[in-house]
Amino acid sequence: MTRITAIVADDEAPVRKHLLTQLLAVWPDLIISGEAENGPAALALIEKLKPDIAFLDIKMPGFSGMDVAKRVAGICRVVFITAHDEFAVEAFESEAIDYLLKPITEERLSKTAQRLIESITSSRRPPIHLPDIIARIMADMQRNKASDYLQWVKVPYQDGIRLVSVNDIYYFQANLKYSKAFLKNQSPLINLSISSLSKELDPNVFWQIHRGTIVNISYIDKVSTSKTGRGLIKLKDRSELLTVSRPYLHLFK
Amino acid sequence: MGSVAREIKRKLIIKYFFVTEFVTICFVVFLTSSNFATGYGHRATFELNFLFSQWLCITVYGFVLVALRFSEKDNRSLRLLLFTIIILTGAILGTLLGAAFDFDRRDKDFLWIIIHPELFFQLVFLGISLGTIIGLSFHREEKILIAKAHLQEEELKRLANEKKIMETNLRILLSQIEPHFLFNTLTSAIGLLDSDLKRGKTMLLNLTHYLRISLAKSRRSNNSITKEIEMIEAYLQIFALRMGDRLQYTIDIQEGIDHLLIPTMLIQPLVENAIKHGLEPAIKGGAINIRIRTNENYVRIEVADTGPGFHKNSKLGVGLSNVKERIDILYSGAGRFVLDENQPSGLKAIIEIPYDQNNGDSGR
Repeated sequence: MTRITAIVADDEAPVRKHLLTQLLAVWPDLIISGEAENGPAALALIEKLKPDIAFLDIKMPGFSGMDVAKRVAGICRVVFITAHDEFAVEAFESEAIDYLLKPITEERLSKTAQRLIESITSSRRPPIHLPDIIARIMADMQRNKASDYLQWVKVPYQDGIRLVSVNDIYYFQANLKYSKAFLKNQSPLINLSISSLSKELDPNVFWQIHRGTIVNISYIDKVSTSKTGRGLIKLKDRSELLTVSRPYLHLFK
Repeated sequence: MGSVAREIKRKLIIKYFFVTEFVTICFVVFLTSSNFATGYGHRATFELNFLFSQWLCITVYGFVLVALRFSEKDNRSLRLLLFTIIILTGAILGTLLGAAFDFDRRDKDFLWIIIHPELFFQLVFLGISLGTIIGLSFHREEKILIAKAHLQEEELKRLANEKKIMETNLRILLSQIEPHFLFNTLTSAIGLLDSDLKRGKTMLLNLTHYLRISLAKSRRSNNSITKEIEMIEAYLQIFALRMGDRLQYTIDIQEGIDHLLIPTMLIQPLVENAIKHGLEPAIKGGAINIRIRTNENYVRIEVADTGPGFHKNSKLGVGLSNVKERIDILYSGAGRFVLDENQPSGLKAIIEIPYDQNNGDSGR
């Protein structure tokens, strides 16, 4: 019987050392054929050495352990390593994907080793449906992260770019394809449209009041009704009045 | 505040209308039961007295409301003069109107009362008294109610602000025991203890140092620059051990400002962000440069990294927003936090906060 081989990928050398030490204690027969310290290196190593197992840290420079796993399914079995990622861990649990939590305990590692040995000796075929599952988990994670609202917008500043906190912006006004952000003393152009802003900004703070206007409600001073039945908004520190068109008037009722 | 004041005024107008009506009825009873005006050819029936009193009192009340419009005038004697003139006019007009509606007068001379100056002045005096009493108590009550509402609003504002500060404090507390950081650091320490005992020990000592300062500080809000930088250095040392030569850093502090007080945990999130979004995603790593300078009124803290900067950072985020929010709350507009492009690449976070030169204290 050929010996089982594995590679270890983690961006931190001490963590790789830790995993190797634990593996040596729990699974002395395992041959570690290589180490990698980032996503691309791990991928190259796996393609070159074709190990039976890849221990992959999730968060790595270049691209993540999950990206690597997606591309090498069918070549080798994958065990993910993570320090703390509740979302991923939950997903791994429900999909019966192998993972280890840092720091790695011998107890847990020996369970994982047992499962791997069984799987390798019985079928000798790594699961092929893994890429789909991983792609789905990654999409879920992305969506989970995407729920963070836009906090900073880029504005041109002197020769470069500056980031401005959306909390400092009184309102946005459509300007051709882009929009203008009105701050206390300036109104720079930003390269986002009103419709994309309305999707990305926190709806509890930013209200669209017109086809071309989004207002930061924390700066509203007074709301009144004009003779034509539209709403007029007066903002703090600013003299101009913003118009609330009829479809958005219900917001202020 | 405007709408609250208007609401209070509206309520008081209604309340004092009823007070005026009450006085009117008293007056009617008085006129009917006495022979106060009978000597002048006035018949003391209830209907006639009711009409008369209504005209007098409501007119006076109307003029009181007019007079109160000027209660905001700054000049006290002008205010008093206006009030007197208006109330006097109201009393005279009210008396004339009341008398004019005394239909019972056979001669139908609307101004009959003028030829009885004695009665006329008595009635005008009654009108003035009524106007003065109602006007003054209205004004006083309005002032008290507005002050109360104002106080309540201030209290609400204060509570909201307190809540905000507590929330940010909680977030700071949570961020310094970030599980990802803690578990990764402990794992690295365990790995080092197996291979390089000395560096493993250094790592754990740095972690202890970082935790001790940062956790102790959450109970206080200010710290000297020295202490704060000591903590940052422990934090950076940990990452230097973990990341190896992928992390370089410099800390450059102007001489003689070590003792200045700055808010705790203000720099740490910037360093954390620089590592997380600037250096860790880069295969080659990079550098973090921290610079602290002062001018006459401000402490300027810069944390620059050589990472990908704005371009890749779609979700540059919560940590930096917390810093921004904290500066806004602590210095109510006098502090500044901006994110600029670092040259040639990366992100540069700049904090400018005022400090008091006399006691070296910056903020609360």
